[in-house]
Amino acid sequence: MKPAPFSYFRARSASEAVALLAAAGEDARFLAGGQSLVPMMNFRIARPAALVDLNGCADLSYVILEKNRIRIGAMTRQLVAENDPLVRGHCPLLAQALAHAGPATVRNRATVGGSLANGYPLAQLPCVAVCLDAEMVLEGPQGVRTVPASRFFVSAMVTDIRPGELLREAVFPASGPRARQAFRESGNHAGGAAQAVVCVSKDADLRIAAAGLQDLPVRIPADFKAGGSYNEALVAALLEDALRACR
Amino acid sequence: MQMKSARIGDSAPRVEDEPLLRGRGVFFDDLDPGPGTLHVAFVRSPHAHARVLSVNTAAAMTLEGVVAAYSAADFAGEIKPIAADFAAPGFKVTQRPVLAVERVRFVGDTLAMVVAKDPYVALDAAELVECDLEPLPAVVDAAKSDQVVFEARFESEGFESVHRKSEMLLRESFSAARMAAVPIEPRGCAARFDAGKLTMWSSTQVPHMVMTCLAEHLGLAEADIRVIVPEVGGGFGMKAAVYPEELLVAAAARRLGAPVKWTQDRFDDFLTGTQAREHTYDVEAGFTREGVLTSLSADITVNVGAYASLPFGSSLEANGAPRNMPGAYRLRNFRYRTRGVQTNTCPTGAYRGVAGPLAFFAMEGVLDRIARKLGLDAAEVRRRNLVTEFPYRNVLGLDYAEGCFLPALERALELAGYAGLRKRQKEHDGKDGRAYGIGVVVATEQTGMGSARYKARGLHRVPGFEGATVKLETDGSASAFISQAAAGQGHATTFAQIVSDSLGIPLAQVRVVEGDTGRTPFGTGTFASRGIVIAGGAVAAASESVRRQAAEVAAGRLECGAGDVAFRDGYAEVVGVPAMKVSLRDIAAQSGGIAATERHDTPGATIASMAHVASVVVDKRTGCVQVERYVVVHDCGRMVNPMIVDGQIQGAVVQGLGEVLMEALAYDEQGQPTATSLMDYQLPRCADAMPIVIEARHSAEGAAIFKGVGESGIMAAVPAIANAVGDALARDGVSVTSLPLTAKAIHGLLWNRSG
Repeated sequence: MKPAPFSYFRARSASEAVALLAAAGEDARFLAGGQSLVPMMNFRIARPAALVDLNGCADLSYVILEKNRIRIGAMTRQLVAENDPLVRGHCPLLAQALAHAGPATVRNRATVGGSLANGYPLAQLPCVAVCLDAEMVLEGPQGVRTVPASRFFVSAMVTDIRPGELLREAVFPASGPRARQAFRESGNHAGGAAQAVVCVSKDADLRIAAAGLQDLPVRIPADFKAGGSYNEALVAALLEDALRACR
Repeated sequence: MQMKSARIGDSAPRVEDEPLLRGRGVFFDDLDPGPGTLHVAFVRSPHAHARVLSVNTAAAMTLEGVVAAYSAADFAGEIKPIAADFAAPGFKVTQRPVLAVERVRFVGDTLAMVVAKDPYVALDAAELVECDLEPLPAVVDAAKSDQVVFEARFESEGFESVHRKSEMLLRESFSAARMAAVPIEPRGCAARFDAGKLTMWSSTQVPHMVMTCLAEHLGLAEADIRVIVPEVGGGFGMKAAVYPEELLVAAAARRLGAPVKWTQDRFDDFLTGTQAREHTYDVEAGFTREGVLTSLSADITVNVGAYASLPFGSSLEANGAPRNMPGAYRLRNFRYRTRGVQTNTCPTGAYRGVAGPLAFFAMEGVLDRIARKLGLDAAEVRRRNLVTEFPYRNVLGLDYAEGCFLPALERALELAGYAGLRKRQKEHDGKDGRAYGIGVVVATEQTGMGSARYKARGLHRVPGFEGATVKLETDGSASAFISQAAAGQGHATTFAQIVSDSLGIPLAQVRVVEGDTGRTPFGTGTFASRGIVIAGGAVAAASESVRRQAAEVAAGRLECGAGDVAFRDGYAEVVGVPAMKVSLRDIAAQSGGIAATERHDTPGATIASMAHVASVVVDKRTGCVQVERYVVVHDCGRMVNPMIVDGQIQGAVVQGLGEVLMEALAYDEQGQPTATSLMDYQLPRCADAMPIVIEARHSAEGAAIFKGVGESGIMAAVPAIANAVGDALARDGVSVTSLPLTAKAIHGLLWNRSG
């Protein structure tokens, strides 16, 4: 439970972070809240040659409501986002999902961007992002580009982030006044890892996403029918409960 | 300052809590064994079974900061191999070299030891040790192992004829997973030699046995060894073992002439901390049409892992399982065969409840099946089988002086609202996909086993008795030096209450010293629900001896008979004339302090008992189980601190919840453990815990004597929760025979039945 040797750089801004990563070489990685990467390093499963620490980047921590969209800076702590009045008022699904993202001690440190960039297939935030068609804003040496969630998550722990790029912001659509949203997850115990996740957003249209069916969260129809697998049965049960909550 | 003396029976706040909650507790890794301390990393086998062709430490030695790297050859002849079992009928004695010589036998077996100037470098260097291993086929499943290392049989007189003539018979097989104890603080040990004398610091429950085993295996004199235990962040039996790492760290310190320290991490804990359970029971029960169990035959197999562990060996669970089975029930005809077999998995040892939880899982599973076969209520079947007349000698010869099994059951049913729960269960239409279930269990716990029982079990390294020195210091305060080592049990409070009650000294002026073989009398350790029974007995006896001596001194000062002296709130006074008094401080100063040392032992075991009722809701769509109501009525004897007793029950019941619904440490076919972190091994957390109603109810004996309480909670919770789930699923034709009942497993049971 001690990491292999690595170099450490502390960035003061997003652009400095991108520059530091480029200078640090191929095996360098960004450090956000450290709630996934640091344990992996302690297990010596992850062995980055260098870390570029984003925790000093004040320009990566914000929640802004702008043109019916909620923009969340990548370094916004999960507990901060969960309790942000803009998030609670305009993206209640995200607030509900964040409440399930781990114990409070973890959410105090963990970040919105960290969870999305990590791409864990059963994590709560990627499922919300896929459900709501969120957009990821990436900044690299070649400039800034925007990727929709449907293309951002590629497979388990693999995203569309290219070498050298920083996920600097996630953009979620603000819900309408009559929107109903519900988050449900099932695991073997409260507060632990989820076995399956379902997100439902009923606004101008009905959007549903599920995690636990494939190695990334996917959209599913409202009449989703379970086949033989346990996870399909779980998703069907969660969907039934979530749809009832959105009525 | 609170100047009133405490009494036995007070729910005094735990004196250990304030420093612990303020972060002032000193745990193992907080210790500094001295200047120039070196740090250890062990090289563990990646294979479950392999021939060791070579272990090359040359590359590791080239890393800056590395001081030494050892393989088996380096300590040949210096550390005696571990032979945990003694030659006795039923045992096959096996040996374990502390560093693997020709073979590794489980993933985590130790190939080499690296010593470096800091723990990071030690781990870096461990990766550079080159081990040439030739993999061999691994045996993981106990049923496929032919390595029987322990076997015992029993058959009551006339069993066969009674069993053959049973009115009704049922057969069932029960099984349960391998578990890990997972104390929040893993293990750790450090050693330092000063002029040939060894000081060892270890996160252990058994400092005196660590001392005797160090002496035995390293060729040292016990008098030259001092074992010190810091605050311990949980043990649950896993730290009641003496480990190869303790021997190796001491040997390295002796070799290097510098303090050597090893702090275990969670990954290593999952690989090498003793694991537990993993039993199978093939049972056949004879019973009457009225639901009375008339005979029971059990064939039990326990997977003991790759090696027998110090000090309990390979018979711990296999021997304990059948001996627990009769429990609170009037079983007169019993036959068993029980075996411990070796496999290429981590060695096993003690874990809270030891064999009890699964013995009762099988026994209570049988009683629930009798109820279902006969259409009888589960509680009624218990009533018809409970022992109600005392004294009672059970079929295995165990004596129950007194018990309150039936009254405890009736009270538990009442507290749970049993009739209402049954009514709701019956009337529920199931359209919401949910099912209700109730588990009812009555069980016994054999607490406070003394030296005779350990000798009879062939466990010659386990002394069985405890010792205590109580000293009235010259300043009028008291100290109790006790042969125990607490790991969260609240000893600093409960033992102080016994002293306070006896000598009339305020609780704040009683200090408890434990976990230091250099300062405390010899004894056994903290495990098997023995602390309050045996060490508590020693503390009480030593306190009474000091009290008698102090009364003599006081009588001289007060000009009365020693029998007329009473002790209260720091004073000795003349009974009936409280104005005539002298302070304990004056008595102590006048006599230069008064001390007494006593040893306490018990001839057999002290029988505690408990009735548990669990009510669960199962979501059949997901397999998720919610325990909605939980009731415990128990007899743990005279309670020193009822609040601490409640805490023991709460913690143990929640551990039982984990055992039934979550915890499993599976090995794949190659012998690779599938859980090596808390991401994979699911433990119950605060959010999983349910409210638990706890009530103590004593038999006449229980009101007078101390009984143990550390394990009764888990012993009954496992069968109670498992039977509640089984009860919920019985309507769907599902039979619960295997633990854990994860949501996925429950869903699978329902799916397989309908699919």
